[in-house]
Amino acid sequence: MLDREKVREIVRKYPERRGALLPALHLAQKEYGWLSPEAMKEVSRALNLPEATVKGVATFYAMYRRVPAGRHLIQICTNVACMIFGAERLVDLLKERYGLEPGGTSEDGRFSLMIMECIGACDRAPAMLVNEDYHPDLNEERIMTILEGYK
Amino acid sequence: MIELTIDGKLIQAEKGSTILQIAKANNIKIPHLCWDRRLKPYGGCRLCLVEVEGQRKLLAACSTPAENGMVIKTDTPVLRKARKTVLELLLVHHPLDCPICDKAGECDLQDLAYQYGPSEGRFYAERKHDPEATSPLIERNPNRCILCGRCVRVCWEHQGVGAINLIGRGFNTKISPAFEETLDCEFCGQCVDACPVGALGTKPYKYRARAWFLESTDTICPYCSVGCTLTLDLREGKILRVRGMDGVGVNEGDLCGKGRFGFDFIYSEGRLTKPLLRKNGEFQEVDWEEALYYIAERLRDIKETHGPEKIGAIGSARTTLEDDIMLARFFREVLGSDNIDSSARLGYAWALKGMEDTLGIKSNPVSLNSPIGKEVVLVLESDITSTHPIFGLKFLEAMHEGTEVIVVDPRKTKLARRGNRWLRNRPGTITPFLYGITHLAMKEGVHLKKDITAEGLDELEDGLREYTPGKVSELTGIDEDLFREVALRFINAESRLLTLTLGAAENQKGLETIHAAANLLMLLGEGPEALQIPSDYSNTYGAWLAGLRPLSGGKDLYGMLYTPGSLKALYVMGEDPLVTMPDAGTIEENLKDLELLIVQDIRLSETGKLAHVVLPASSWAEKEGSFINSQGIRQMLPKVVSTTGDSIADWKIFRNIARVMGHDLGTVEFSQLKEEAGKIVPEEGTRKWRFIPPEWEGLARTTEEYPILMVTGNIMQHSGSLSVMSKSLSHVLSDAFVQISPEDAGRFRIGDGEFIEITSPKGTVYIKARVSDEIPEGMLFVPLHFAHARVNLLTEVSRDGKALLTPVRIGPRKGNGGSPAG
Amino acid sequence: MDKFLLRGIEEEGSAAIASYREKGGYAALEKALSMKPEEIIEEVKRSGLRGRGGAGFPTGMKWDFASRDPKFPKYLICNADEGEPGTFKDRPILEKNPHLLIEGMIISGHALKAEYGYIYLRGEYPGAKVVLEQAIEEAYKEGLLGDDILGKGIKFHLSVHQGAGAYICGEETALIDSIEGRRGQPRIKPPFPVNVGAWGMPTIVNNVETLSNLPLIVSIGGEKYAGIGNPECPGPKIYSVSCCVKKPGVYELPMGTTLREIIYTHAGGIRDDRPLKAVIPGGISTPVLTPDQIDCKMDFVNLPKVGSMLGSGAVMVFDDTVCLVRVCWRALRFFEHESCGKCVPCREGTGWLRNILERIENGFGRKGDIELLQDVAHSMAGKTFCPLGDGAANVVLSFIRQFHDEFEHHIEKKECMA
Repeated sequence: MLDREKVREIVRKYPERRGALLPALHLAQKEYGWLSPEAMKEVSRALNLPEATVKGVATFYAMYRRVPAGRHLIQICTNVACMIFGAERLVDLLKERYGLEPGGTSEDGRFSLMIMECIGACDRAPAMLVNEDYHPDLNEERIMTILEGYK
Repeated sequence: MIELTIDGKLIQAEKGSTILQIAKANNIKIPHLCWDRRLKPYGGCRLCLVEVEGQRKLLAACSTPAENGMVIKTDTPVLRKARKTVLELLLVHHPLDCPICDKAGECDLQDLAYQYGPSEGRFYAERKHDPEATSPLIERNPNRCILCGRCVRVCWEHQGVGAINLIGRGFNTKISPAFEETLDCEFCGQCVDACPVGALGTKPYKYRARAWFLESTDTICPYCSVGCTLTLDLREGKILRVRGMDGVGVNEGDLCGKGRFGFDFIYSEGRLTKPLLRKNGEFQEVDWEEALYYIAERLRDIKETHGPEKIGAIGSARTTLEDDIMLARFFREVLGSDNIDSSARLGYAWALKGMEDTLGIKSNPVSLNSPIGKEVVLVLESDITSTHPIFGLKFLEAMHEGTEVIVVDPRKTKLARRGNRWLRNRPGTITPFLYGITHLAMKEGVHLKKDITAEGLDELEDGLREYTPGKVSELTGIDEDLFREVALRFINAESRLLTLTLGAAENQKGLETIHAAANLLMLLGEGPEALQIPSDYSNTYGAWLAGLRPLSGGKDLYGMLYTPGSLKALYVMGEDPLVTMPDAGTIEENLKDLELLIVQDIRLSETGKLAHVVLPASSWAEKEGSFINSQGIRQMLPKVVSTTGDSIADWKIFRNIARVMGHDLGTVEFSQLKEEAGKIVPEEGTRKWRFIPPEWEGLARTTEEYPILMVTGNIMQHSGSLSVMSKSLSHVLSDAFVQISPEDAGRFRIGDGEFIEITSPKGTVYIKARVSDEIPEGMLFVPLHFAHARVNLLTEVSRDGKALLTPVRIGPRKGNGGSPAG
Repeated sequence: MDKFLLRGIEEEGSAAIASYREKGGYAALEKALSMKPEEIIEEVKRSGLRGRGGAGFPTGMKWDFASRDPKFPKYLICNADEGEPGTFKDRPILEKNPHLLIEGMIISGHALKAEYGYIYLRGEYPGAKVVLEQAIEEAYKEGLLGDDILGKGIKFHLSVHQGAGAYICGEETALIDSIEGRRGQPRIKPPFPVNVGAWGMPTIVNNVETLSNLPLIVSIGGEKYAGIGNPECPGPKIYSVSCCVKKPGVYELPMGTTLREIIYTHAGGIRDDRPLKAVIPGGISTPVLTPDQIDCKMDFVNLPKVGSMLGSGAVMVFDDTVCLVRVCWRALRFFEHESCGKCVPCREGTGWLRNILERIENGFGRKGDIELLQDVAHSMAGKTFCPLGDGAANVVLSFIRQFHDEFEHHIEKKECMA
């Protein structure tokens, strides 16, 4: 369930209730792991906004998830700098090792994978986020070592 | 004023207009797909790009303010190329299914593609193939959508609903309800009119006709008193659809669902085609001659035996002004009876009386644009966006332009949800709420600064002494500080407005509410224009002005319907008292005692079922006539379709009976009547102000036995008992229901969709429950449209015009199965 | 030049308020609070500071417009949504020197009489969110934020608003829509945010780096500040250098340092000392340059002279092993993904550009594809709703202009030159 008290706290930061929509969606995503229809309906009720309004906003931003995620979310950048340093090869590697497709979840529910546009780590490319942890300077060996730390 | 040049033409224009607005006003055509007069400019389609001398970039005409001295070109090779590319890109994905698209022939994209010529076919891509999505009245074909967003914006910005949105981002954006579910909205259909292509259409019109075979005629809507202009599209003499035309009529093209979809009541299977005469207890179809001679003879008999004072008439709020005039003349001139009244007696008549008592006026037409530009608007226990949808839109529009809209209502109406503030009061406590503001205004000494000469000021002050913010908070259930804040906001505003409805179907406001509202406004130095009370239905006001009310001491509706033995004969035209009027049990008893009950209607109504003779009347669109809307404007309605069966226009029926009775009313042709109707003007009043001391009788009497208050009224999709004849509107909602709060549902163990037993001291009915947080604890809301629900068996009539909420007790229905009626 | 924006960021714990104070932090704020708002604006005008987000609009002028608007409340929004590929210049400030930004915002809030500030932080920087919120809490505790800052009766409240993955929200009106809880689609201008911005009120949107210059301007004075770097657009500038250099990273240098100096002196030259092939000077949406153009000074005035732009100052360096058709394709994939969908040319055009580039890159290019790319790009440039479409078009047009042969080779030989 969405923490209504926390939502009220967020609402206070904005002159209008609707300002709290993005933070409330972040909150709901944390709570539910993804923005399920139920989660979006919760947000819509908490902020007195039509469901379509909430859905429209939730689907505009790439980091709100519309499908359930695995235990750990890998967000890997493949933009220009990361591409030059082999990010696409790493994406292939994740498929080989974990059966992970971009946008998908491994069968064991351990990892989900999202391809990111630039995550602002071009000086230490390729880079990724696992959940909220930032991992730069990846190569085939390092990425596997890092991911093995996420069970 | 500014001066600019468009395509070599020197043009003067208002400062602040956009290039597109000026071009339109000067008949210079700039193409566009995403622009809509009612909406903020969007700038998405990029078709309206123009060249402005001295500007490096092309500018979007829809969103660029015109400036003095601008030199603008709207059609150059560069622009043609840019527009052509936009069209080419749109047509890569747009399915070229024009042969089976209902929009073909009136499609903006089709027209523009034709105008700008064939594309070079440089892009090939798979076309979109999303499934069509259907809902009761509106069909979505997402593949044809060009993402101009007009439907989304009209639904949210203009209608305040937000049923659909742009879902996703960029190329993958789609327009749909939140979860791709069936559309569940007001079904106003505004999105359909806004769609420039065939992505949205109305279901009843699907595959019915090619646009180029349609003939269009404008007329006035038969439902509420706003009096919207409907553009009827006909094929072979049959109305196939209704549209709103941008800028046309008092509604300027806006329509609600009733106006757009409700026209098909005239094609209802239940239409009467022949007169019915009761013989040996059963109705038999007879011809007009037999029916008219029967009526003439019976009326003559009763008049001779019992006197004209024993004959009465109830007119309609939806027949034309001309029909009403003839009913009144027939009664007064032929029968010599002044016993004439209409449903206005139960609502609007009290509003008029209230305003006469206080402001000294005999009429107070509303002004649709009145909310716009006001600093504060108070909406008092009134669901304006449901009862008068297009008037309701003006409150949203005002809000967008900076007006603070404050809604006081126990129900979470659309305006409660969308307004700036919503104060949830206990049902029926608007009157003490107004007393409280007036009390505060006096304490603030507002009236002392004004030169108020009206009588009764001291009595008012005395009477209001007890209505302190604390007391008002206790009575209304509104937080004291919040009440004080809102009250002071209203008192200290530079400009303000109070609005409420006082409909025949409503029971939570009354004469005392009007007095309280007028008192407050007079105290603040505001005139009648600050009090906006629309009349009920399409011709409620017209019926009143046409004299469908006692003018020389005749019996009114109370005297006729609720007083046993007061009449021997009753003539009912276009009204169904057994459904729409309170305390239906008493009415039924009195009707059954009559020697003669004549019911003239377009279908066999509940009241008609008790009649001795039933006459088939032609309906709206089948006859010429006029309505007077709530703005006091008389609007003409043409005859558009042929009459149903043997039905004839109401006015002609009176002309004919009169003839049979040997009276020539002097009116043979409609043109004579039209002229007569044109002479009707509202009465002036003395305009002398007078304060009426508080007269509120306290909180409605709930008891241990009857702990819940039942409020009655009209809902969005229906209007009185007429709309239920519409197949389209019944697709959306055809069954009676009662709204109940989640708290009470829990307490009385009533599940959503289950039958609930409602008992008042008058009786018991069974209705399906709808559990809804729109309703507070301790209250039920029941719409009165559905005859089978017989809600009015529970209600009481208030002869002095005071609010009369119905205390009831509720519980799950005992036993099982079926849908028993009463 | 001494570093100011990135001073001490390599030290452990540099984000803490104590560490910031040790470096002299919040001294400028005390000075600023004793100044009148108009005086600060005057100093900013004198400093010649231009917005570091990309457009290079004179900050003093923007502030002037906002402060002349009689409506209150006014809102100050820090644009921390750097999302342009190649750009990571604000990140070290956000993660390692957050109090510099906070100090800059409080000063700006005072100057603009804005009592509410938001930091619009891109969703891709979850680490920075933690740091910023921690720093804001510290600032509240020390009375640097709140209703009565340092007892001077000045009010300023600050909070972080986290984005959720939308490059378009770097555009200021889209950013405002996003703060208001909407789909981040750009709004029509005029009215400009300085008059009608967040919640209809005057709103000043400034980039992280721009606001972080405020403490420096206040402490040394506008005149002295104007002496740093190119006098036409002075001040320190953070260049973020990436791709094929030996030492990629952020470099704080005077505005107007040449591209050559940045690449060869500071970033250590090309990796493995390979030949330089191309440079994008200001983030992916700025037109690409050839090796003979790298003596150009990196600032708002000089880059346009060689047909490019400073943008965010994100230098992307490509050596001879990099396929530029592929870079161009990847850039367009980015723009297609980030197009908000509001206007037709961008929504449809970015997809087509990506589509055509993809077939060229994959060896399925057709004769006439180069002209087709140019035609589509021309029908976008200057015709889309916002600069995102211009950026996408410019990438394609400049890559083809500068490296026509490489595209031709791809189409004719179905293979890459690199």
